[in-house]
Amino acid sequence: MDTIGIQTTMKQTHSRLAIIFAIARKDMYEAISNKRVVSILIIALMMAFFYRYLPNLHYDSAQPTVFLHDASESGLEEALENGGQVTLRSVHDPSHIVPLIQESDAPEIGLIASSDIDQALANGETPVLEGYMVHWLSERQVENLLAHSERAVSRALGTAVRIELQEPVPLAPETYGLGFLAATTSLFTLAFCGVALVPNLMIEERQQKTLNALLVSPAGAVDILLGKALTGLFYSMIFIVVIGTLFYPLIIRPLVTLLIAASAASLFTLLGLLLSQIIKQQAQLSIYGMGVFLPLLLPQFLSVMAELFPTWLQIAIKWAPGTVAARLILASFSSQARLGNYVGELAYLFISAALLLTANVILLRRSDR
Amino acid sequence: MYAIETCKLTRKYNGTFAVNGLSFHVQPGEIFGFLGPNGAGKTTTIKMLTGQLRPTSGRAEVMGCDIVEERQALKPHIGVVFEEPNLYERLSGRDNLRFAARLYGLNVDCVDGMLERIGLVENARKRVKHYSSGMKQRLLIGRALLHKPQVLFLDEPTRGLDPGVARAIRLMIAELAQDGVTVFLTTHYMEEADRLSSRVAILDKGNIIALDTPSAMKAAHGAGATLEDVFLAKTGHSLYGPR
Repeated sequence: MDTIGIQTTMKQTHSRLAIIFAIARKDMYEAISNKRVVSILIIALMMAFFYRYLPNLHYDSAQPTVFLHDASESGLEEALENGGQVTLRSVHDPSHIVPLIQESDAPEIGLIASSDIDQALANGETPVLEGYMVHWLSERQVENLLAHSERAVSRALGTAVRIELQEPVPLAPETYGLGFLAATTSLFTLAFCGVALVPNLMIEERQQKTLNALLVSPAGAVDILLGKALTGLFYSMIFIVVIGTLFYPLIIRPLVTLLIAASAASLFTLLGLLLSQIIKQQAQLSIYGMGVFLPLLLPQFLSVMAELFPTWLQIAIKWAPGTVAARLILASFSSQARLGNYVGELAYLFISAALLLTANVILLRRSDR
Repeated sequence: MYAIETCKLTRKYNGTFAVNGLSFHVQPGEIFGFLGPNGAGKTTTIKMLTGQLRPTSGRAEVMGCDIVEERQALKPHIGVVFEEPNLYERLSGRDNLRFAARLYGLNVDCVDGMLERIGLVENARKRVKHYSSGMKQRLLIGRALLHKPQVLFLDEPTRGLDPGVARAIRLMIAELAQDGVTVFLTTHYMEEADRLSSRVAILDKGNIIALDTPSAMKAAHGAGATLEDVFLAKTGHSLYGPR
């Protein structure tokens, strides 16, 4: 291609980008005075806050949960149970302590009391227990929980003890607890944004008949679609930032989490745009939207009890779009997750997005003429 | 080069001809009236000429651009005022024009000049939902003219407007032609077609039944004849439906 050709192409690309941004900018500005959009944003934000602080409903800082493996003969387990200062969970196998802690959604501590404690008690030395806490607890939470646990165990044994905190426990790539809650919250808000908010963008253009005006302007069908997608992504980014703020202690690889969340947001945005091309009226959106939203969200909740279902259903749940997106987001919170283990999920996400984009373009071009 | 040229332009819906074999041309700078009752095919014709609708058969060119093959190239040359107001009601008049300016790659500074031209400077910051129908129509015309198109398509521009407002819109249309803009105007108001248009095509059930200057059409039907008389003579029914 010669220089003039390249310049022409660059100029055309610049024009198209300017159109796409103009459409997105107009939508974002218009949203401020759109009651429907504002309502949806508020509902989604409320749900995000609800899921974040849901664990606090059952968390009692005066009686935190302690997972205890007691290999000693000190009677510590019984004493802690009766002491009333902690909520005790006995663990028979010490190797289960870390996995249990990984599933915390509130400040919890895992303790291993080895048989060395008996020796220490007999010698009048300070018994030392191994302590395990998740990495996402704040310094203050760690201090408070440690101090409380030491007091409780000291009282139970009748002598001062020391809990030696081990390396902070990272989240496992596929686990429950706060990580799962964060992933589910992300799924909920991004899917809600995609299915409830984004279709409004096209449906309103159609109902106001402004879509006709757009189609006779230099904006092509694809430009309009990409402009709407950009607006949808903008709204999604607001949610990603809010959720990132609410769950920030979990985020150990910000860029990875952001990229995965943005990819999930793109998928749901394109799904919303496809929905907007099928649905012509706002009133239909409630029904069709629910029909799309529930299958996105439900498998994620069913995945918690997936072992109860037959194999084929387990596979279906595992590979539902919502659970794939949530699984990737959860994996991004874990330092143990390796990219190579998620190639299938990533490919699934990108191929789905590409298919949705293609379907959108075909439908829009067809309705254009 | 004609501003608009069509050759056997046809659009069919489920076996029914909405527009059937239209062949006409429009000179640059002309106000060309497309007169006909509801359902005659006026809006369908405009939709095809502006690239919104693909013809079933036939061809047309607007400013030398084929409406099918060169649809994207056609767009900068045309402005369209639709039959129904299609403005962003939550945005102000100024913001509506600014958005249009960005779509056409124009500097948003041109918006102030256009607001003055269409007499909406004082109401520029008001949301369009608070505009009267006349103000909306002026804004629509302003939006269509912002990028200085050579051809302006007006689909029933005075429909539903008060007489005074309609008159102001017609004056605006007349001024456009003086500025060299080709105006393709559809209407079912004969007086409007008669007063404004240099030539009129009368459309009935998708067919052009007459095409000439208003005065020539009327003269051919006798002294004192109106365009409605012409329509009645050609079709056997009134422009406004059965009496």
